[in-house]
Amino acid sequence: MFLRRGHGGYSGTMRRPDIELSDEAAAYVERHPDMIARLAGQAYGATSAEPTEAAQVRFRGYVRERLALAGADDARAAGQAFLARFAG
Amino acid sequence: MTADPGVVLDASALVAYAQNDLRALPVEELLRELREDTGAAVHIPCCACGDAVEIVRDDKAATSRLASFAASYGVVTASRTEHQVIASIVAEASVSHGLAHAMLVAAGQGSSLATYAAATVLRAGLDERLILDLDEFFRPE
Repeated sequence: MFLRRGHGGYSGTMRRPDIELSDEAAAYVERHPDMIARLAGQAYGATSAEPTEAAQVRFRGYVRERLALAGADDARAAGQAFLARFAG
Repeated sequence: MTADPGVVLDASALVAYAQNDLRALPVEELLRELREDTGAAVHIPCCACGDAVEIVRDDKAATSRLASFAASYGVVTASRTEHQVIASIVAEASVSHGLAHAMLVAAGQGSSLATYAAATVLRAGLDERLILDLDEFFRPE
């Protein structure tokens, strides 16, 4: 069952539905579950709970890059400047 | 360049790890990278841990996982002076005490702040180079 838009507001005793879909959108979702799953996968950057090896390798590279950036003297100075804004 | 100052986890990262769902994957990958490659330390600010405990309070499994995690790495406490700085950050930047403490620790020692709230941290004024955005794991190439 799909919830529809355009049938008036919700009274104080009615629970507002989390998702409202037009009839057309609801029918599309019903006919194309694969499309919805793919869009959800894109939103998470993965299509399953298991990370791909490529994603793991890429993320580990990103971690090393961020650690190197944070450890640089100018980043540390920026951190001290940030704290100086709030100290005393 | 000074010694490796490690990584700070904020409440968003701690909650993700504790709830052990899809969003825990980047945290686990980060920990694996630290353990196997860089050897960098993991810092858990006490205020961030407190926020995370509150968030997962009704989830026994997550609470237990969070407690084990905090016990294994230890928790960074805050001095009276640091609590005053945290209060100033909270007041000026409108962030939680946990996030303020995480920013203080990261800024104070030049650590990467691992977070799912990178936009908020950036808006609060922490230098971009000190932010490790956990959402990066999920971004398409």
